[in-house]
Amino acid sequence: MASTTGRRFRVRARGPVACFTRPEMKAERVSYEVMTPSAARGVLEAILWKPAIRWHIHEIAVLAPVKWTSFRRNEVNSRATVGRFDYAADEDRAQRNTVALRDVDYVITASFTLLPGKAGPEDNARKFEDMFERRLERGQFFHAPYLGCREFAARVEPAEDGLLPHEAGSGRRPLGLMFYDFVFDVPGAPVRPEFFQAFLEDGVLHVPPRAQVLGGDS
Amino acid sequence: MMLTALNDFARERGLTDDPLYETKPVDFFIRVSAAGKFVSLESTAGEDGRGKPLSIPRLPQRSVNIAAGFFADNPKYVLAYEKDAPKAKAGGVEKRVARLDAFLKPVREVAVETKDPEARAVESFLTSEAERRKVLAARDEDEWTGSELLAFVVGDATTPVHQNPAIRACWERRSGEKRALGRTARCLVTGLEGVVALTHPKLKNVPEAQSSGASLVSFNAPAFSSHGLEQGDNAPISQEAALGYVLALNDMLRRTEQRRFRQGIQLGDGSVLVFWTRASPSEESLLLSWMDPTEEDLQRFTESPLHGLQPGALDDRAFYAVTLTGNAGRVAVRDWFESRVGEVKRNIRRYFDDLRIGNAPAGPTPIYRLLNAVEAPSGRGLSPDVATRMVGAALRGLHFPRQLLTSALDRLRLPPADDRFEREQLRLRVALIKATLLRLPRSGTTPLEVTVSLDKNNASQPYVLGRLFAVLERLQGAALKDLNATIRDRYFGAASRNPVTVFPRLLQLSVHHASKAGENGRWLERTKGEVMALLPPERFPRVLGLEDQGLFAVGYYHQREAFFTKRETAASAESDAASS
Repeated sequence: MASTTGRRFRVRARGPVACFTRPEMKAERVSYEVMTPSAARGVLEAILWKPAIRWHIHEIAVLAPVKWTSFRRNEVNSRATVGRFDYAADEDRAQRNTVALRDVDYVITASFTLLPGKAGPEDNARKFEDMFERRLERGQFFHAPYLGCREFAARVEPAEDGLLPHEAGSGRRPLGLMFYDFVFDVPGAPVRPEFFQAFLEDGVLHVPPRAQVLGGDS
Repeated sequence: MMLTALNDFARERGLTDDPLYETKPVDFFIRVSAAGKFVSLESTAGEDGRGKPLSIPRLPQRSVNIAAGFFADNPKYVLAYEKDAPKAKAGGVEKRVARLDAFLKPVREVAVETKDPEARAVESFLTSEAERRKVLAARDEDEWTGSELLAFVVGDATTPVHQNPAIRACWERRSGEKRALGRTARCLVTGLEGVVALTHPKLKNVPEAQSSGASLVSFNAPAFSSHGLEQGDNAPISQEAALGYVLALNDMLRRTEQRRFRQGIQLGDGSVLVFWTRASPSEESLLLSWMDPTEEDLQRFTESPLHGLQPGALDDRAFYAVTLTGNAGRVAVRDWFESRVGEVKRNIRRYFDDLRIGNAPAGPTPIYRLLNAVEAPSGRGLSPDVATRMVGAALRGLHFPRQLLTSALDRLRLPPADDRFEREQLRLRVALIKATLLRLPRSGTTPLEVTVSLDKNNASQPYVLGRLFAVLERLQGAALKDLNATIRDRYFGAASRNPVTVFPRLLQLSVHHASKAGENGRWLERTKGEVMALLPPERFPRVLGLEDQGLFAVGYYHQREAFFTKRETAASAESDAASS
């Protein structure tokens, strides 16, 4: 079981457009109402990722009201393939609709743990924590952090204190089953998507720990 | 959430009670003797000419593949019938045989398994080409379409073979076995373990989609799937849930005699908004008749305006709306909205209040009529999702797309195309302008005030200029009677955009008009004076912005309607006097 004793970071991520695509609606994209844990993980990994660490998302606070927008784009039908150079996007595309979110603003609370076996003798959590903090404050990243889709760039910074969720005080609101993450690391088994029952409690999405989601019914 | 809500709806309304069977109109019974000889072809058509609705084993999903029904299907499968048989291409014969084989296979297996005499009779009938020919000969060749639904009866029986208990048991067991072959996973709609549906049933009657049906959840290109997952594994949804949401949507999208969609509103050409509630079917039909009234509804509404939108006991129940549009083989979601019934009623009421203008009775206007009124005559100009956005905004109580303002103003600048509908069209356009103005998000402090009818105290310059324009038009009308082109046809656009270039000239002209117009002219001159008094002396603005042009149009309309009303009341007073 992953321990969550590491330092908790609060990271604010916002942007004009976001699309956290629902897996059942991904041909003609429709977003979830709220950022998914895996999208939040992606934002943090954009800033710091090492083979030896694993990020855990604890909470996602929703600061801005949920607003929608929709547009159509030409997208390709094929996946990027290494070594193929004769690809003509014009001949292989589909017009697809996207129902995305507008003007999103989140505070992600997260921590990471060291993975036993992957961490070398010179690695320790403290070192990576400081590294992350430094990078976050300076605005450094490995690749541009984004909100669900690469093209929707995120502005990421440390969250100051006193930020209030938009729906603070409004109680518990069910969001239905939400995508948690892919399970990559079961040896021999194919990658599979995992879901969890999501609620917005006073404007905050509480993310259950990984072990609880993978353990079956939550 | 959407699929879950739809699946719940299907369960609550009992649409999924019988996942193995479906009710379909069976057009003909093929009666065969116990030995499998053809006896007769019996039409089940009632007075309306349609087949009798019967419960049959659910037909499989078909596109170009071959998949046969169980003891009931169309003549292509049952009789190896092909409409253009003589002209059939090389592959035609093979396909015919393959279809018949597919239909025959389960029949044969069931006959062996159960030793049921009825199943055996059907089997021996199907194996004989001569007997099958007799069926086709029982009707005129031209009458067969290939899509009739056929079922079997044996001997003197009154119930069809597929309803025979032994055969039903077989169907249920076979379906169970087939399901057991599937992969199980936690369903992301219900949250329960279930057999994952690899492909989903299709939605029918979605605009712009293939007429044979299109899927809402599909992964038909490599770019749509992730991590090497194929088809339904990308989003594990159980077969029950997949059937549930599709049945729910198909039920709402069904065509009825009055409506194109039983529980949907057509938005523009390309999309449909369907909505449902966790309240009651009567709540749903009430809301529907408000948002998209039929002619019959409209007549009823004149008697009881806005009645029924009062708060009710079910206002706290959930309300869902989804806008769907076809994209060839796929169905796309354009908009998704979740709320409470009471909230929606409040927003609909506000929508009608915002649209109310002049003395017209407070009743609903069908959305397509509103949009027709602002659409350019060519039918182009409005971007395809304007209707979706407008209705979405109406249900949510948000502001309308600004594009409506532009389009409506554009239409006002053009001379009317057809005089007969002119007054109504003008009303709709100005109503839309008014509603859009009222809802515009404003950075300033004061909300824009736009009244329902003439507001003599409104000194806002564009509004007053609009009124002045109406007075001048009236003066011209009173002086010159029959005209080919009025000042409205010539100058409305310029007057609303660049008042300074037009008004001084129009005012000069009006002096001549007034002298020609006699008694009426003196009265109009007085009104002109009243209106002019609200303007700063001799100063017309150079340019009016979009919102101000909207206000101009509203002012024009208000003043114009005020003239009409005055004349009408005066006329009725006269007739009263005459009758007494």
